[in-house]
Amino acid sequence: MHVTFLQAALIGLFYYISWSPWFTYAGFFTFNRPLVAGFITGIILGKPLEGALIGAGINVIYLGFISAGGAQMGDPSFAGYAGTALALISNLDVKTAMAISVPLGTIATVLWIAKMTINSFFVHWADKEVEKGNIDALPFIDVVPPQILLFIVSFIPATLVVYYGPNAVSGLLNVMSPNVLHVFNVIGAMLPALGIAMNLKLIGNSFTMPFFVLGIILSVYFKLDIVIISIIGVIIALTVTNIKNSSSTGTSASA
Amino acid sequence: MGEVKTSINKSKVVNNEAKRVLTKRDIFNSWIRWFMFAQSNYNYERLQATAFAHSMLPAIKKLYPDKDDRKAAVQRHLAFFNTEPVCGSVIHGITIAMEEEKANGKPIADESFNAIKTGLMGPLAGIGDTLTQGIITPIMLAICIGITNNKNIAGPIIFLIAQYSIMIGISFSMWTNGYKLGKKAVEQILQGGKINKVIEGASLLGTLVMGGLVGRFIPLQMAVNLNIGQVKFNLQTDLLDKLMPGLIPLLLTLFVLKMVKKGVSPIKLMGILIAAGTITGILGIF
Repeated sequence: MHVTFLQAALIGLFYYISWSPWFTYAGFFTFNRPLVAGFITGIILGKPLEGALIGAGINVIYLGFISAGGAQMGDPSFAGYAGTALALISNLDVKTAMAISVPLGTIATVLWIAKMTINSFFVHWADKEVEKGNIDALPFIDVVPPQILLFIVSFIPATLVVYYGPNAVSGLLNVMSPNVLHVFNVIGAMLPALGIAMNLKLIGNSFTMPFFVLGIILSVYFKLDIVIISIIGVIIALTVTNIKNSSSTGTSASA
Repeated sequence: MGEVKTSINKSKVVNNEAKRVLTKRDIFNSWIRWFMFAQSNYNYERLQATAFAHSMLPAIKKLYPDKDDRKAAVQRHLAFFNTEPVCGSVIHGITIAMEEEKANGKPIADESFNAIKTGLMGPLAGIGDTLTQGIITPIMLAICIGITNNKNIAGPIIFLIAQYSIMIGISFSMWTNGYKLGKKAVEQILQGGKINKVIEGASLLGTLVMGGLVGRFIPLQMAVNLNIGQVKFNLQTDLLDKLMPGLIPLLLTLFVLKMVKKGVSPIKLMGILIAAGTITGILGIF
């Protein structure tokens, strides 16, 4: 399909918004995630469900990505918006979309680093104004300069990638045989292991890991839906927590 | 403006009687500034400092009519600050309560404010990141990704509504509870075992759901066919599936987990997986 500049600009705009304060900090947990990014991109390009499906796939790779202490290991939002856009425009399937989203999300990290560095200057500016007694400058300095900067380093790259990217992608695709697309599929099937593993590092331990295997069995062998698996998980979690609690209060009572 | 004038008159007329009190409106105004601009000016040097000071402004303006007091208050809150913004909101609540006490005559030094903030911001970052980024968001994502994959557009919509409700709910209640209960109560809760129990139970749920995702998103099937004499033997269906369903995806994830625990960077791991996918894809293994 053909993308208009307006569509590319809208996608770039939402990418900017996903890192901005305007939808509140809850935006970091929603619009910044590939699932929603894909959905929004899909709406802009006229294919909401397809966009959401691609975004969902990309999101699994980035499931365990945690932003902590100012560090950022890749930009899931850029992968979501730009990756989904390129996939929808160039008619790529979900797995191929997942494969190309990875380099997109990785390169976009430089945008984060640039912003985090330049914003430090605004802090000094705020210091000076407050020292002069001008505390009303603080809200302005906390918001306007950093957001103008963020807009420049977010909107422009994203819009350009979405608008001009498909030409590069279609050029590549013309050279590619079905075999190459199969390879992309395999890559797309392996990458989610990263997102899942990163999350497991945080919540996996000798107690919870057996349930990881159980989850695999439920999904592969019994072909259970994730929602059903979650319900089963809640039941098990509540039961196990109850058992643990009553046994510990039991021992302390008898002691 | 009218309110400020009245309290100045009150304090001039009646010495110790005038109490500077923050209304629910003030608390809310402070909270919304944090909940919007917490990472607006996120920077390497002082991280969330300007946002913290910015969010304190409505309270500071209400509590300190004197320009120099206001300046001093803002300056003590421009110090380095970083925590998980949703759960860390409790720190701001406590700080506002302390500023209220100070404005009403209790002598609290600048160092005390920053001691509390510094002492709490670390643990709350740990708990907060684990809870919001490690447990709540991945589980919500897994469920809504599951819904989306059933070709149901409700997936991302439910995700949006649920996440907004959860994050706003947690942040605002942490903020107001920090203000009401104060530092003592918060330290008690942090030390008590309740939070750990919740994290434990939620981790169980999360790990189970992660397994569910493996099944759906890592559908690696070995495409290796062996010819042993007269017998055609497919490695996947005739051997692996009979051993354990999802064995290859399980092993792959465990391998990546081991690498992650060893400290291999995610970017490097992405490269490794892409290389592995390329090689096995070309060789026809998968």
